[in-house]
Amino acid sequence: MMQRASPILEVRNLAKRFGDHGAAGLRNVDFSVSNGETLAVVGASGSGKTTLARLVMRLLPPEAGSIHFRGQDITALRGEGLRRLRPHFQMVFQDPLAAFNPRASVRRVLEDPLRLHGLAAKAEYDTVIGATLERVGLSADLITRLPLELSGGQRQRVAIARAILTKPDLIVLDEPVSALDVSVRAQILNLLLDLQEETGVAYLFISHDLAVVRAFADRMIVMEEGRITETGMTEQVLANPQSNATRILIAAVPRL
Amino acid sequence: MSEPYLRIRNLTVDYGGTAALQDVSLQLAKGGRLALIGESGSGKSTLAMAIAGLLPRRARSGGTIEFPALPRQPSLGKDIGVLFQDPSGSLDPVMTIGDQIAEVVMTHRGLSWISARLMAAELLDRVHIPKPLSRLNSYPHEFSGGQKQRIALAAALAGNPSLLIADEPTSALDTVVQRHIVNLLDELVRDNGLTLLFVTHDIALASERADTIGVLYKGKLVECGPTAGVLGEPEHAYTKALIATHISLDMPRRKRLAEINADGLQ
Amino acid sequence: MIFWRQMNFEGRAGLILLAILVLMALLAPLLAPGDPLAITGEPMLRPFTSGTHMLGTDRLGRDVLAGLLHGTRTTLLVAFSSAAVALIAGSIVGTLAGFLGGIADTVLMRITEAFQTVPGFLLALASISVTGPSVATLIFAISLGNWTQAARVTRAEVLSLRERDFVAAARTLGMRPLEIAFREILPNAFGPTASLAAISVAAAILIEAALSFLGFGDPNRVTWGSMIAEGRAVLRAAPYLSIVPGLALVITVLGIHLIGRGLSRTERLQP
Repeated sequence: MMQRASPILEVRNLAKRFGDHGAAGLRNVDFSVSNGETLAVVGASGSGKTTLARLVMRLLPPEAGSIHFRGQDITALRGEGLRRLRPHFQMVFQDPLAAFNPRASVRRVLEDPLRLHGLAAKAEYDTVIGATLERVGLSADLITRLPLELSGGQRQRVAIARAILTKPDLIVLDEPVSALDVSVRAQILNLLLDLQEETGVAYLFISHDLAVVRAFADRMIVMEEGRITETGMTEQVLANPQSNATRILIAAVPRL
Repeated sequence: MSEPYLRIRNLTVDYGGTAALQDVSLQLAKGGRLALIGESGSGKSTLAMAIAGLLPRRARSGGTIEFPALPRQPSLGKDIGVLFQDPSGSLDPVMTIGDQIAEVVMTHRGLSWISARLMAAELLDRVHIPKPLSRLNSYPHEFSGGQKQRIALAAALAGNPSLLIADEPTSALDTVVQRHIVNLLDELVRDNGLTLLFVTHDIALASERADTIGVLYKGKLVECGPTAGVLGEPEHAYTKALIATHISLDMPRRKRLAEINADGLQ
Repeated sequence: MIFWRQMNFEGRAGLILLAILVLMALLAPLLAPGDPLAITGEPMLRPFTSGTHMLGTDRLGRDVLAGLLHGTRTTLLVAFSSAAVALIAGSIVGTLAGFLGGIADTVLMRITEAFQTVPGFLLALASISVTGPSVATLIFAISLGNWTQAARVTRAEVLSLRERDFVAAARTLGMRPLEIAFREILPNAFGPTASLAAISVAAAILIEAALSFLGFGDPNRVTWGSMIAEGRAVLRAAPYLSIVPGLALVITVLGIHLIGRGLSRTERLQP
């Protein structure tokens, strides 16, 4: 593999502690994501991978270390400065139902990014939203529905639509398919692969399912108790695991 | 072959107009492990709940569900234990786990409160909760998701059932915890002669853990047989598609993942 | 009507009572035209003795039925408006406290507690004696002691909603905190707060009646409280003058409470 220049996301010595016992916290987390690549973060529950996603998204303040996005230090960025940068890094959550305001229709959910960042004139909202819905494989008629009325796969497509409306350079995918049926899972992952090919967006893919990571990610990092225990190209890590945590994860995958 | 443990003939269930199950017939031997596979809405959970006698009141059903090996109609809790996907939903958050399990023990085994508590500790030990006696007075929220599922399993086993029905018992858990739970289920079948019926959407998990696989598609049991046969020579297009979606860790990476094309199936 | 079908017997009985009261209030000008404070007949007529004065007349010869009907208007207007003001104000304070957290939370909740330690009736009395009696000042005075519960309930709800993924999603989109608080969180926190409505309305009715009874009501409007006060002087000779508005008060509060119970039942039944 070629060394790709200019990482889109660079995380250095990131640390975060929760409570007194430091559970699900992070220590010395160091990695970077290049333009257009997919980096998987793998670990069992409680390994700190979701905390990592929330730190990168600046939903939680880190205790130490730095986060650089497109070369800019966003570790301590706040208010307007952070808000201006927000459209460029987006997130898709694990439970698509919990990720939508239960009272908001698909239209309102998808209008928000357009309105907040002035990405389209008000009169064009419906056109832009309709086109985006079709891009993620949904009918534009769904615009009036409530997320509650959609199937799990449709909801996750709407969540992806919300994330791509702002044309981000990085999308953090926090277990985007683990709440979905096997048949829907493949469709959603293929959609994400297609979008990446089209737009060159980079993914930070949080997962506990190595089979999915195997099919989806270029590189992976394995986490255990808040620390990175292994980093490498997905195929190499899986073929030749170096850490115990990786071996346990590999052994846990059901085989046909 | 001797009498099966469970025999279902022409079971049909519908929820006011929409058929959830059509004409399902199957048999399960004592000590067997049956996996029901299918996607959401395929009727796999409806079938499990029909066997447990837990269908909602508005459901209308036809056909027969018999337990030839049992001397009487089975009762829930005593003969059939049920484990659900979400352990927080089946555990009472304001009751200690010891009391919850002991209550089931008292109801179904007629033991005194003190013996029931001891039995609860024994059950917790059997599902590998460390230091079970000292955890009897803990509340569900003090445990992790995987531990909660173990506790729910202990409660399901409290009536000493001969059949355990597990409805997607590991779908909310990560793969490492999933492995621990399914190992535990295997152990219970092996050591206690439990008959196991589990519902899953993961065909690989079913292939590892079941002797018999039943594939449900749109309310019909499209395939049912020994695991090796179903996986080795799948007959129905849906089963083939399901097998094709499986991602193996040793396969070379492909550009796209195999999808299930709904139009190509009937 | 879905609302009606979901209600249990208690709730339905309450709804019927409230519907009758609302009808009374709406039809008051038709059923008893003219000024209810005007003298229309002989004083101290007993109920059911005169064709023109069904429920009799008071010391000055004012019609009791007219007073009762027009009193319904004042009672319902003041009670529902002040409950609405209290719920809205309370939920705004609760949302801000719960969402902002930290110092803002501490300050707002200490203020709420300060209001809670003083009985609502005293607050209303003090406020009315400063501002003078009118419908608007009454509404304000009554809500003054009535918003704290809504604030506490909303805050508790907001604290749990704040951690939900859809709030995180709104933040990742770059939504401003105030918009998140009032557009995303508050509408979802309002359900439990709205179930306080019945208690607030009932409390407001009683406070309004008590204020009027003490002579702090709007002097240009009939209210049940002022009617009871009016009858007090001749309680032995003409007990009906106090009993009739008193009964109206009891029935109204009962109706509201029944609806509240019916609502909380249906709320619990929802998935």
